[in-house]
Amino acid sequence: MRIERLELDGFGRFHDAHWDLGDGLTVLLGANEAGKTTLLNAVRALLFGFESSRDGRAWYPALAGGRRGGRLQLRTASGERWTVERHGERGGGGALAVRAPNGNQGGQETLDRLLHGADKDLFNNIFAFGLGELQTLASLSADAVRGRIYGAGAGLGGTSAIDLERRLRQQLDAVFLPQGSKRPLNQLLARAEELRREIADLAKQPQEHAEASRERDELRARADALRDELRTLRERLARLAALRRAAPLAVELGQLEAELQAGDPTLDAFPDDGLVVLERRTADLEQARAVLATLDEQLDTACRRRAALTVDEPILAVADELVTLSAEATRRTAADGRARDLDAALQRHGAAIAEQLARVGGWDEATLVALDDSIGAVEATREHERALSAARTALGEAEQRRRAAAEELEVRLREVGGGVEIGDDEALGARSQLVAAFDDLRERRAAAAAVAAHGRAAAFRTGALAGMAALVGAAVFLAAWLAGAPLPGIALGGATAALTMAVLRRLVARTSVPADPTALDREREDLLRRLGLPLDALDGAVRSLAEELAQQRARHARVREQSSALDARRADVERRLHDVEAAREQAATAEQAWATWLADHGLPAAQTPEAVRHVLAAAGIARRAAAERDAALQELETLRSEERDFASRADELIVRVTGARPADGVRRHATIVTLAQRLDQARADARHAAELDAGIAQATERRQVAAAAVEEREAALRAHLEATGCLDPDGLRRRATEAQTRRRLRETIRARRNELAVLAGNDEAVPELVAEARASDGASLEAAEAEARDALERLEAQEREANSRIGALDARMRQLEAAEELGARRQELAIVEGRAAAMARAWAVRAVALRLLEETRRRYERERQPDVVRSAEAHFERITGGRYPRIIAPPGDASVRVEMVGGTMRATDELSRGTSEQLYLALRFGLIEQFAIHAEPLPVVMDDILVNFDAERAARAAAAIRDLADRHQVLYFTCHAWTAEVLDPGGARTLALG
Amino acid sequence: MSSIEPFRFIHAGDLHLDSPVEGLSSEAPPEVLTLLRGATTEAWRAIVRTAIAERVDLVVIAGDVFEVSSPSLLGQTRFRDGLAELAAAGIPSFVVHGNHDPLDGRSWAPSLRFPDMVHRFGTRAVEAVPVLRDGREIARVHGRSYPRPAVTENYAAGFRAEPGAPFSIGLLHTNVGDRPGHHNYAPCSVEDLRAAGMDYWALGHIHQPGRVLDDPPAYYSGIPQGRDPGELGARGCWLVEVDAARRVTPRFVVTDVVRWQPLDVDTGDLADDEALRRACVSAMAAALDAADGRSLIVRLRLTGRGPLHANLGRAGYVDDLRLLLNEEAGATPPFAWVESLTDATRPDVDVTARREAPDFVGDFLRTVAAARRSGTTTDPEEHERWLGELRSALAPVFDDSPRGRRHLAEGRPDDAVLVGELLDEAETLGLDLLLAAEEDRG
Repeated sequence: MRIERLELDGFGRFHDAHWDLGDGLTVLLGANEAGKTTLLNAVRALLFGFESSRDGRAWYPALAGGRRGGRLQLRTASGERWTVERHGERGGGGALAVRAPNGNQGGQETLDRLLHGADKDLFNNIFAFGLGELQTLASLSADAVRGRIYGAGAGLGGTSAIDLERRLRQQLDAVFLPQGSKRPLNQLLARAEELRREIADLAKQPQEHAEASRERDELRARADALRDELRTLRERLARLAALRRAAPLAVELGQLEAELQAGDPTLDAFPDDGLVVLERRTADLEQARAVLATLDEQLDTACRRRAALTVDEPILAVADELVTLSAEATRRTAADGRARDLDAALQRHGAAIAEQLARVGGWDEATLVALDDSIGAVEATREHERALSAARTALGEAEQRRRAAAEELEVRLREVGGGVEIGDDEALGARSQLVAAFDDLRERRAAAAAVAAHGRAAAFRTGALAGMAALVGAAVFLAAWLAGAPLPGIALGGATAALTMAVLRRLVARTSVPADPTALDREREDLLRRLGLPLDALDGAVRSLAEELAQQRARHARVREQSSALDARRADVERRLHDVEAAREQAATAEQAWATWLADHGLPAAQTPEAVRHVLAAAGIARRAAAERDAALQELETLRSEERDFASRADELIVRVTGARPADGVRRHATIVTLAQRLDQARADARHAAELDAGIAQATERRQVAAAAVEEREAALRAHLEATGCLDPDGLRRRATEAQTRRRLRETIRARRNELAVLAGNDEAVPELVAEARASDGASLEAAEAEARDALERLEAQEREANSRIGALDARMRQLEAAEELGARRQELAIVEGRAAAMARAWAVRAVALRLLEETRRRYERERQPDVVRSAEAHFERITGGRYPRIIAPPGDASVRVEMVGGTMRATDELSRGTSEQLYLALRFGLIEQFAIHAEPLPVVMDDILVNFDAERAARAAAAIRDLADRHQVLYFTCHAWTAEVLDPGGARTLALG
Repeated sequence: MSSIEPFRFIHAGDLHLDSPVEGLSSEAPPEVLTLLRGATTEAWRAIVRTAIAERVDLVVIAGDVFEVSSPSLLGQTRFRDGLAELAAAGIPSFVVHGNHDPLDGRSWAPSLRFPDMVHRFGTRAVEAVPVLRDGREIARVHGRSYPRPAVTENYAAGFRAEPGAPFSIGLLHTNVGDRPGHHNYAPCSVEDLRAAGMDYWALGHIHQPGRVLDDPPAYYSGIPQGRDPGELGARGCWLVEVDAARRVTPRFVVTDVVRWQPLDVDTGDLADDEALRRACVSAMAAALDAADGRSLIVRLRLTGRGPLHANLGRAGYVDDLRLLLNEEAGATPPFAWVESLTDATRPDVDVTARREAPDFVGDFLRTVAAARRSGTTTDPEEHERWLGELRSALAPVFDDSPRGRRHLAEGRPDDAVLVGELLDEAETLGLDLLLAAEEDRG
């Protein structure tokens, strides 16, 4: 790789400056302060960033203006062109842009890759160095530099073994630090410690459980003892309380018992219900007496009412008659109205009869109403009416048909005219037969003429017959073949044809009777004669005659038809006349029948059926009116008869009861009504009297019962008094009070004994309790009780405390039994230790890998260093003109020794300044070449490093630099023209700075 | 020999109740943690349920009811509750104590009272306790508890069948035949077992269930719930049927609720991240299908050489993948929770060829080879030099830190691991770094 162009926007004294640099060696010659070191540091800064401001020497602010920084245009061995641009006002990386040939832009990583891992240390010490760096071996032996060199030499590119080691070390440190606390493995181990402590604590739980169990058992025993003591004490307290409460009861009991002793013992026999029975029986007696008194009073009242009541006996004696008359009187009023209606009806019916008589005229009532106006009679008139009508109609029609037939006959006769001429049909028929015979003859003659031409005609016929026979034969053959029969063969066909021929010939023979032409001619002449035609008449004349004959025959036929039609008409007229006669007879019969019917029914003759029906209708109406009129007359008569009967009976009664006859019908009616009212009152009084009588009888019976009850109850009361030994009720009441008092006393004694039994516990213990209670005094009892109560409270408190503690211990034991912490902590510890083990193992793999890499690197340095040193030896020997042929530089050892020709070994501090600088330069050349074996050659920048070399060694060193420039771009800065001259004798590759 | 009354019993042991699940290398979500925390207790409940459901005549427990000498009260309470449940169902229990729960007065809370139907064997000598059914003896259980964790006496030698006993059960916590990897407590030989005249040996101590002897039948019940990545597969107890002719038919009853499941996923043919994720999900689903409804704690290991190796080396990639898989799987039982995801893939390079190359990578591989050789070298100086080198690399965490010494003692890689798998992983790591650096150069 080489730097094609260096551009500085601002760096130290440079502003907007640029340099195009060629391949191989370029000498940049400038006076002091021309900016050589500034340029060296500019290259370093553009590639690796700006030095921090603390290092003032390499700070290089943009003194001349512009933005601090610039760009490098780099070209790789493969010809790619990259641009590295960096600007920054402070120390560090600043703003870096690396542009690839394809235009992509990258950063530091891209640059690192481009430089093949050469970092700032490596570059500054090995590739871009000045006199300052050259003079120190430390810069060569630094790990970073050495690592890079060996890394490059190892084929690891930019990543040196040192890098890998460092990375591994960092990874190890990220997991664990011996004194650390934040690293994950440290943390896990710390957590494990913590868990172990917690587990140790939790492992004491069984012990705690055991202690709790022991304490709980002790407490339970203590609680049991306390319970026993408490029970005894409570019993004692109860006894004392019983005694205290029994004392007054015992005293009272003594007094009560004494009182009982002093009382009347016979009172004990007094029945408990003595007083109750007395009161009940007294009350019963009073009640019976009250009932008796009430009944007496009721009886008295009834008797008085009965005495005051009188019944109208006379009216009651005629009660039935009176009731009948009273009812009749009411009916009579209605009958009067009916009589009036009947009178009016009589008038109405009389008028109706007169009306009907007037309608028919000439009739009296009796005759009229006697007529038969039944439905049958009326229907008979209708029958006669229809028969008469039918007979008349039939007569008219017969007449009409007769007239029509007569007219028709006349018309026909007119049509026929004067009569019909009818020729001789027979003669005509004979001629016609002759004509027909002539026709036949003509045919036969024609046939005879044909026979004359026999040959041709026979040949024709035979040919035709043969053809027909062949045709028939073929047809038979075809039919047989079609039927699937065995082929009959030509012989059969031939036979069939022959047979057919024979049949046909016979047929022909029959029709062709052999004819004699002469006979035929004779026969013709005969016929012509018979026809009246000349003998030479032609066949046409015969045909004309035949046609004429035919016309005559037709005319004859028509005349015969007309004649027979007239005969028929005449017969028709005669038949019609006969029909008219028959109709007339029928009409006369009908008229006769009707006349007979009228006579039979008492009706005048010559009446039409309709007129008869009119009379019959009036007769019906008149008869019904007469019947109703007769009925009304009869009813009226009946009513009047009844009225007379009623008046007679009423008057008789009235006279009997009142002694006076009523003046008229009106008074009769009023009297009947009055009497009827009197009857009602009399009947009510009679009913009341009966009721009173019944009441008195019943009351009398009840009084007897009540009186018996009073006696019975008086006896019961007396019996009770006797039974209780008392003379009277008051005495009994006094004794009852005394007995009650004595009973109460006994109850009180029993109650006290019960109370004492409760206090003593049972009945048997009462005497002991009473005795003890009587023996003790109240004050001492109270004192003893108070003392026992105090003791009780004390023990109860102790029991509560013990039970509470037992409860707490139970709870704690349950808690301990269910405590998951110990198991959980152990599990967590297992997991933590598991994770720590896994982490530690991964750490161990890395630690071993690190150790192996370190070992490899050491071995590599040991074994590979000779390549570097050998290369350096060649340069050193060349520069020193063969004075120092060998370099010894053990790995990891800062000291380098050289061997002079002759074997003398010298340490670096034994060399002159110039020689030692030549040694370090040679070593750098060796390292640069070793680096380039595996990586692309980097540009080498040297800043006036030859100043301490003598001219000879400077020339040799310059030659070595030129050789180096064959493979590397070399930029050499110097302020000495001789140096430029030594390096670039022609000056072609020298650029002037300043 | 006269016939006996047929009966059945449960043989369980090594309950290790309320003990933590060990070996978790990552933080488990609460649902998973809850299941894990309760797993041993649930297994014990399953034993009790089985005993009651199968109407066994007795239950024998062959020691190590608890993990530590001072078990939590909760664990003891749950043990007692289970015994009480058995007693309530009329089932007597017989318990011996082992090295993890010796009867030295510290392991059992004396205040926690056990039901009457529970017999805990003493420590002085072998006791023989008759088992009665309807007033008639059906079997006699012989047993002896540990007084302290480390018992070196041969307890089995003290077991002798008694004349007249219908069927003799020997209940003992022991390491028969000094099995490697287990404390050799109450050591005995199969001859001792044979000589005792027992009809069945109910043994505890070895967590892997299995048969020790055919005649007399001697079985380890194993742990009813695996608790660490070393205790794989189905775990449970024995349901033992004894017929009238004293023939014994043990049937294994699975009681665990969660299982450890190591899973290897070969990444050699996987092209990208999505393929890797799918392969992991598929492997987990297959494992879960085969787990009989149990949840799984999965240790996923990615193996093989392939293009994915470089991806896996990216910082945080493996952790992210693990979280992603767990997020997808969910934590509703039965779940498959990825406890750890290890990248055991190798870079896709020809290590042998690179080891021969005269460059830094070759130097590194040769250095590793030299270190590996030191594990088998006969040169004590070389051996010590390398081991000293590697040990000193680990010292800051494992030796110099007092906390590290205390808490990482079990995980401290021994020399074999140091020059073995640790070296392999370090080689892969170093090689990855160097190859990445090489790529950078390119």
